[in-house]
Amino acid sequence: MEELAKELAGHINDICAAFHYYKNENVLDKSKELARQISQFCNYFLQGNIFGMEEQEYLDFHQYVLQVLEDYMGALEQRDMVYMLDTLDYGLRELLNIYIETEGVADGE
Amino acid sequence: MGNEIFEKNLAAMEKWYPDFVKLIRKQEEKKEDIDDDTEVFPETSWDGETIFRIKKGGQMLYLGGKRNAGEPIKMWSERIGEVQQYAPIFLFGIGSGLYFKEISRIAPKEANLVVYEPSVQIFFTLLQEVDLSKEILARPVAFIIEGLNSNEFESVSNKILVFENLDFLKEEIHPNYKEWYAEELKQKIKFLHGYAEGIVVQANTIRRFAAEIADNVLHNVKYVCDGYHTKGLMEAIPTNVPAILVSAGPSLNKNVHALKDAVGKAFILAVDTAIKPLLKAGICPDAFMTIDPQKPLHLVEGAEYIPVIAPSSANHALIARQKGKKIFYSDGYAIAEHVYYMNGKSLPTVLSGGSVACNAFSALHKMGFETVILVGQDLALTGNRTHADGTFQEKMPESNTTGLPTVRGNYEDKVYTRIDFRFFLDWFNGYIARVKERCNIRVINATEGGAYIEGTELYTLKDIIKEVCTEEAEKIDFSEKIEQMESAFSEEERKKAVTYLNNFPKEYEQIQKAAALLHATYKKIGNLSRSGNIDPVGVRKLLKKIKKLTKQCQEKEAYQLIEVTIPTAEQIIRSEYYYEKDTVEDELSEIARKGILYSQVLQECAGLLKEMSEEALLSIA
Repeated sequence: MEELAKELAGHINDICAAFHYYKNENVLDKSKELARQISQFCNYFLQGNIFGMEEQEYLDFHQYVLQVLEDYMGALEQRDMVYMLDTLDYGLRELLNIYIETEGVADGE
Repeated sequence: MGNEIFEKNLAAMEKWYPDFVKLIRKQEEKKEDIDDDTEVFPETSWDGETIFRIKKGGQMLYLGGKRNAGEPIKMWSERIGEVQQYAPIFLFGIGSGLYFKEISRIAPKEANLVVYEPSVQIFFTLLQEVDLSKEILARPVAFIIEGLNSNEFESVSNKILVFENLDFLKEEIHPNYKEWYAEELKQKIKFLHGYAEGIVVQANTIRRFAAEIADNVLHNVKYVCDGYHTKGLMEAIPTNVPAILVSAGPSLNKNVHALKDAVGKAFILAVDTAIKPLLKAGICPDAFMTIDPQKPLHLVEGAEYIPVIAPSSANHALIARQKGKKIFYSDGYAIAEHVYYMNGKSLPTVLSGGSVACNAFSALHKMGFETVILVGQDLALTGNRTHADGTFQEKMPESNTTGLPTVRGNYEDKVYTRIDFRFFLDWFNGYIARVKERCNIRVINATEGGAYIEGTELYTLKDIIKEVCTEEAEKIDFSEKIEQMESAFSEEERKKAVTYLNNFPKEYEQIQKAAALLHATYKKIGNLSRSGNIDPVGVRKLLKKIKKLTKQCQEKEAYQLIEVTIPTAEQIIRSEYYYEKDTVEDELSEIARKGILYSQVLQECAGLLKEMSEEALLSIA
């Protein structure tokens, strides 16, 4: 999953930076290309309580993952670039950081 | 709450534009009449910002991130970077005001902020939901709202954009606005770019012709004193007949012979470069127009007895050679205008579009012709050629069209054009649309090839001549009528103008003296900036003196030709003025450096123009 998380993070960085700093508005098409990887990544969390969280905590986490997926689909469906950027940069990225940040801490140790 | 914020925003707007507030209130009362089907749903983002989600038909769009609305604004602000003083900033779409608030925060108060909002519904929701009173009170923001005052976009742009601040122009489209408002945005942005391009073209033209313009104006003004102008021409000839504007596009060779049937039945006005192919075809136009300050004389060989219509900046050698009537219009030079003004009269204007054909078309419209037929107005490389054979060369060579832009053709889907031709084409499109709104004018494009001009009817020249220049129509001797034109001036008025012109060189002498004083004052400022002990009272006195001396120079009519002659120096000085320095010492030193440079150039230029004007004007009697 770490590999997938890093790969996705790289793509998201490219899409968001291209938009914010270079006015490249090809956001939706680029995001659509990530559908398979995003689905694979999110489904991993939906298999069950893989982190052994408290029940309520897991329910909230489960809901968060579903919301990210729903927002991703909604942004594509509505052809809403702002919605997509927000979902990728501030929704999906939180999930990706579970791996990327964990690895960072581990490296630091 | 909504009403409270709405009133607060409107109260802030009252400070700058009470009429706009009245307009908003009027529209607010008639909300049901609003022609905008955008539905706006305010929300609060997870980071606490007010954001809008808008709905149209089955589609919904966010105008701000629902999780994080603030961070993208910060990144946007980083991309925008430093905003210079006096920078023109155009925001296309205001959304829930987050970008507007940020730009208001980072832009200096002197920056000119224009907000164009294509949805009046979004604008009203914004006024009700978001308190912008602080930002509105801080500076006069120009709000242009579709459905409220969108027709003001052009005049606002005209006021804000000048050559000196073009480098700082910023235009930003709110994310997601292109999805629904692409057409409205395209229209406004197209205008803005066209206007900015026009400013650059004009500045480059002036720079290119700088020295010639002053020389031409000074030499031509003696003919302006003869009192023949385009309005006088309008009174001398019938304008209830068609006018034919003959340009020098490559298609002219195809149909030039058809013009024979129009001689005496339509007023034939040629552009200067079209003269040779016309004369070669045995057609003598009733008049021709020239505007180019450097027009090569060989291009108008044989036209000496044809009346010429020109601005005062046209090539004076060409004007001097003409034996026919010299008919002028104003191109804004004060010396020529003053000759009329001092006699309680005015020199008519025509609109300038960058090419002689644009000016000629405007002149024909202003003279009152209601049917104007365009010939040789290709504005494209018909047959891969730029001009008709017999103009610049007997046989015009084919041009390489690789990489050239294409536009819709009159008879072809696409035709190659050049950047300058496309600029003129845009001008024709815009000008014809505007005059058609006001007047009953029929514009026929009888150019057999070339680019399609919006608002024109396509005809072959033969067909349209047959239709509008009927055999029964009485033949008019235009040249005789032009020859009998009356001067605008009596002998006494002319004498008054001559006295004014004879005294004109003295103004340059006075400017020279003032420039020498300016130079000395700037030097003092430079010394002060290096002294390490800046006396604010002393500096203020010197700056006051500079202001007074500069005003003395700039108030003189003669100064205008100095501005024309040294545009580069002027531009450097004026544009650099917009940059701020870190310390007072640095600023003063910079003021002194530029001022010394400027006053030196001013002195030299005034000296040069004094000599030129003495040579051109003292001999007028």
